[in-house]
Amino acid sequence: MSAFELAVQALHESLAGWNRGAVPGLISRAAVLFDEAREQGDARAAVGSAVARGIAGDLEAARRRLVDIVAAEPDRAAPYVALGMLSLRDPDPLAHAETAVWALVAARDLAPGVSCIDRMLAQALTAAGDFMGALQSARNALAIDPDDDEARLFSSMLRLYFGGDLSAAAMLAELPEAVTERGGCSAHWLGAVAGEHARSEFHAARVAMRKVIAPLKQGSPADEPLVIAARRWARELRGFGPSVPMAPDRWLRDVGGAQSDYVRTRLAMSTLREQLANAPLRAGAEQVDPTEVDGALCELEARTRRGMLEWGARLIVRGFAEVFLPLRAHLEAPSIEVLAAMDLVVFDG
Amino acid sequence: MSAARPPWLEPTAPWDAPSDPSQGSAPAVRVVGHALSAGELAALRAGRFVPLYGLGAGVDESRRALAVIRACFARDADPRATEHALALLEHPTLGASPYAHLAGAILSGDAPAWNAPLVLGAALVLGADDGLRARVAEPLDRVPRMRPHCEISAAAGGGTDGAWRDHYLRVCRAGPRSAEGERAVIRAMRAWYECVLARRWSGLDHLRGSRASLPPLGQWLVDSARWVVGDDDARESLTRCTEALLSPVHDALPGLTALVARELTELLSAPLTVRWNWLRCAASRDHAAMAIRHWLRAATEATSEPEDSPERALESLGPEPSRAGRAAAESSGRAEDFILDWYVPDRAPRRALDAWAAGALRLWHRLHGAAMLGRALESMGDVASPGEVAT
Repeated sequence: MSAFELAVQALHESLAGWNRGAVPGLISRAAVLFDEAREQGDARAAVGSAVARGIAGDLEAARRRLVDIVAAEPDRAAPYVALGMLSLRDPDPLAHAETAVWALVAARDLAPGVSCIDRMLAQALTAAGDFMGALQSARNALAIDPDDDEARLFSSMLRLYFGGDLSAAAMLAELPEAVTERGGCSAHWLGAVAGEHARSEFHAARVAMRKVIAPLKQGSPADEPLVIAARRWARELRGFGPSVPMAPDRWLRDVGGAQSDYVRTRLAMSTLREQLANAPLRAGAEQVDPTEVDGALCELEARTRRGMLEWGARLIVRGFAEVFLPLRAHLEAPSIEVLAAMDLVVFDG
Repeated sequence: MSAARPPWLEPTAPWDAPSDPSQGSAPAVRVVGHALSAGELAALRAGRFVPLYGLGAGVDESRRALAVIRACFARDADPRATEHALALLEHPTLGASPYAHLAGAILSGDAPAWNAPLVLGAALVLGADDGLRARVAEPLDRVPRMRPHCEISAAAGGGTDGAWRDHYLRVCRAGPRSAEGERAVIRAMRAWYECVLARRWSGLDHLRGSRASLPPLGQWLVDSARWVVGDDDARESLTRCTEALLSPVHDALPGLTALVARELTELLSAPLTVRWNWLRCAASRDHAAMAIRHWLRAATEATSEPEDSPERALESLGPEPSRAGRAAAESSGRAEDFILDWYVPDRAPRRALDAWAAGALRLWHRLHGAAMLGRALESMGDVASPGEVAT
């Protein structure tokens, strides 16, 4: 067995025993073996070495190494995938979202048709606030692999809070049950919190929230920040209110009530419109056209409704990425398909 | 009372310094108002003029300042007199030193206090731009009774170079050292900025609510904002306020009344257009961004949750939002908030409204100056009677 094959084996073993992190002895051994393989001239080992160090906790150094590898070998997809993956596994993924987007866009161009790259790109774009791009990437991932649960989760979140499609709430509420049955981590229940809350099923949302934080230990220095972040996001979701901003029953409340600037400006414009209609000569003398007022009224409403969804997504969907990605990185090892996209697999056939 | 001799007069006053022979040998200009000869004009442009209070804080200088103002606003005043008088407000070498010297003389009791409103009033009625107005007002700020007037004169502006944000910030900071009654006008000015330039209805509500307790100068601000949004009686109230503010100087400065009437007519000439522009700007604001702040406030408000709820623990969380929440609601301070509301993407109405606001502020400063000059004239007594002024 070559040093690279031994390193990959150690890496997989360390990930197989994942418990809030890789098995410490094995991941260190994998890093050392990858270094040996790299000295023997195996180009794939440099990525493996950086990834092993990143998974072991030294994310900053690992990303620096990967940037150097990308500079040296810009035509290989593996280092880009690794850089994107480690950026998304950072405790503060929003801070590294731009790097992840850059790396994963490059990876997608070099290796098109890989579901996990599109899925990670959707997550990175969500964290960066490019929701339309994120939705497209999530749909690409689903087109390649219709069983991709994370892509479905992000697609549903974006449809609900960026697209204003309340039917996505049902998908969010039902998805985690199936994911958990397949061995997925509890982070997926965050989607159910969002879905149940949008459907005004507050008790079910509370139950889902309990399931999110159930595996996390109270008082543990590693788990505590994740619990706080999840609760903070839930609090903002609650302040945001049920349903979606386009819904008629919450529209007036969302724009600040009857005394808000939006409502008063709209009312004042309607009054001006009436006055112009009653005094056409004066309106003509001052060159104020009543049809322009009509246009401005429609534009005001359309822009504000669209703006509500944009801002809602910035608050809720981006906040979801802020909580979900570190929680999943904490509870779940990188999947085998991501390792394959980084060339960190050995074909035994 | 005899004021100390200003230091810049020794050994040679700046306006008596040897000059370029090609610029002529006319004596330094002291009083303007008449049609200046070519030599006098060259002397004025070359800095060979005696700025107001350039010879000290004596009675002669007060009479000269008054003569300059009278010459500019006489019935048959030279149309260029205002421009020349504005030049006399600040000497290129001395800057605002004469006013600092005057303030010192007033504080030490060497000069009567009415000199300060006289000079600031002169700068305001002459229509000094933002920079010059601030440079005249700032040294006089040391005179306690002048403080609110100087603060508002220096702070309220922005139309000259479009620096609304910076002037709004100065208006917000003004007034902590002033008495409660004097702060009311400063607060009204802040609300005026918020209503007219940031298109916030809360500013209009504040103005309407405080109108009864304000002096005519503050009421003028309220009525101008009410006129913008289309209140029926605003025009009439505005005219009444203007008359009340001009009445103390109506006889002394008849040209000022005519000028103000012209400017007011111009300002109020297109009510529907101004209102429509204001509404277009108000409609262009990012109302959704305001809503997100509303949501975040709602999020941090305490709510009662069932005893067994995990959200019960939320109440132990601090009020700070998540990183995404912070980014969504970010606005780094009051002035940035103001600029977000002022800077709407619809450029044409914004520019038209900016121009209207600049005109309104210029007129308001003139009226403020007229009110101060009126008070100064009342206090001056015999000194104010027209007499011989050495030219």
